[in-house]
Amino acid sequence: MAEPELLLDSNIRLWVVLPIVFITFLVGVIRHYVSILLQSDKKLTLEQVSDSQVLIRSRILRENGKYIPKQSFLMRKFYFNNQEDGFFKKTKRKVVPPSPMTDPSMLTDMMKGNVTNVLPMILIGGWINWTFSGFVTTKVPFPLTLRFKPMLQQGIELLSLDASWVSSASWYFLNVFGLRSMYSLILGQDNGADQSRIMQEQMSGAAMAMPADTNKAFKAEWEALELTDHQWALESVEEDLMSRELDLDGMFSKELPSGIF
Amino acid sequence: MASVVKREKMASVSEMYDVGWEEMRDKLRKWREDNCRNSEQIVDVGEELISEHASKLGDDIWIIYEQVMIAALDCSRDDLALTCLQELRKQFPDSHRVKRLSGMRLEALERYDEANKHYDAILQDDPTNTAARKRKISILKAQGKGTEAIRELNEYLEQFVGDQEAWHELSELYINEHDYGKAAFCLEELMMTNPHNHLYCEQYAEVKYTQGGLENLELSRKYFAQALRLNNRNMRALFGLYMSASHIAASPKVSAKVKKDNMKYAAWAATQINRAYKMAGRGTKENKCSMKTVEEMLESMQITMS
Repeated sequence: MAEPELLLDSNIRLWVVLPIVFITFLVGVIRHYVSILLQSDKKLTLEQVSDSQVLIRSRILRENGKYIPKQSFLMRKFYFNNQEDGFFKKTKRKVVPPSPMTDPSMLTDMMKGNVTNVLPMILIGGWINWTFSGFVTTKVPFPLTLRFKPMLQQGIELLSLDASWVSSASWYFLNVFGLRSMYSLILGQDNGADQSRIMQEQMSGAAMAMPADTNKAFKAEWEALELTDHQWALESVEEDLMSRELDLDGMFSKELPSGIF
Repeated sequence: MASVVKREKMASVSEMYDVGWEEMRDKLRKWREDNCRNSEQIVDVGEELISEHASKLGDDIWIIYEQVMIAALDCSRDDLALTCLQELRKQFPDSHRVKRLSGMRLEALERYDEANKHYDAILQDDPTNTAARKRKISILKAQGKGTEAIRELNEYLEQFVGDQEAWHELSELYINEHDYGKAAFCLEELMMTNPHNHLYCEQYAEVKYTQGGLENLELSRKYFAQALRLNNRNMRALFGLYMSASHIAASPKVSAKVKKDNMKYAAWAATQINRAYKMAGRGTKENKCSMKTVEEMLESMQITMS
């Protein structure tokens, strides 16, 4: 069945589509700078720093232990994993799970996150919905089912209108997510205007274990280290080296640099 | 009086090399990133940059002040160091980083007790500040208290196991005290964190060679070979390979097979050394004579067990 093409007033393009893009973009930039201003300093304790470095050292031992002699590797493995006084066996850290209620700094962080991101989105979305209501803004290039109509066509009460035609509110939300790459271009990576990344973090943060749970990390590291064996990378290094002549090309051809520049 | 006259007569860096201020700034940045310690050059370039082009540098000027100040301390230019420090103090009055620089200036003037007080104040405020702790250890080193410096550095490393600069410093301190076993331990840490750095392998091999004993010699030969594998042009490792292989071959306690293998390694190393000298002498008339000199040198390096 032939679809009747709707011709939109070009004024819509000038006065609706473009302003919404600018508004979204500017609000994003403002959000970024506000988040920088409201950032609170994270103070790490000496113990936390020390523990994270120990974990890194143990991981490096597992991965690159093959570059040191066997004796040295075993010495370090013994230091970490020994039954009676190995580091991972002996050290128990006092772990206080920082739930939002008990830890005041986490509470303020969450509040700040909400205020900077969710609140403006709701406010501006609602304002746009109210200002630019009653007409169709744009058409998405792919066909949608009728289920999407109430969601995307807020304020337009036409039963026969194709679901691909959307209102300005949906154009606003499209912009919020679409301008993410623009923000990366202009504000650099890891910027405060990146909403979807923040929402992802919030979702994964709830599922992830608390970062201060060093005891579990120690236990995991102990297990991993128990399983590692030493495969000396230097077993046949002489044979490998002497299988061909040394590559001395260009060693003496460069002029010595004179002066600073 | 004489020094003032001298400074007026010397041409500026930009005139001598015909470069603009942007190139000077970029050169300083490159030196910062590569961690070069060419303090005299930094002072020359940096002094001109901050006296002539301060307004054009924008926010870069603060890190340049820091870089030039440290270089000035190296060159005994206390006047320049003080100027830079005062500018930094004006801009960042409560900064730990600037406090550390004041401490360094006191160290350069050998006022160690005052410097220690500065660093203690920083540490009271922020116990995780690594820079202040490292400066305190350098004070001990400057005062010649080697064993105390080693002890403090060990304590520091217990807390901050991942600090590679500290491990390297500790290995140097141990070598100075002739405690080669512990120096080897520190170098092993560095080798693990930087498996592709041929210099750590070579240094480790040298320490093992110095320790002596058949097992250590074998290890040193292996690590010299590894250093060569990582960088074919490491001449020191090549000579080290030759020495360790011939040392093992000359030892009376080894089996015939080991002797034969090591003589083969030593011979290979000698050929490579000859090749390198030949390449170096290419195009010069004295090539034939220098080749003979190399042969004689290699022969004289043969270890004879008495």
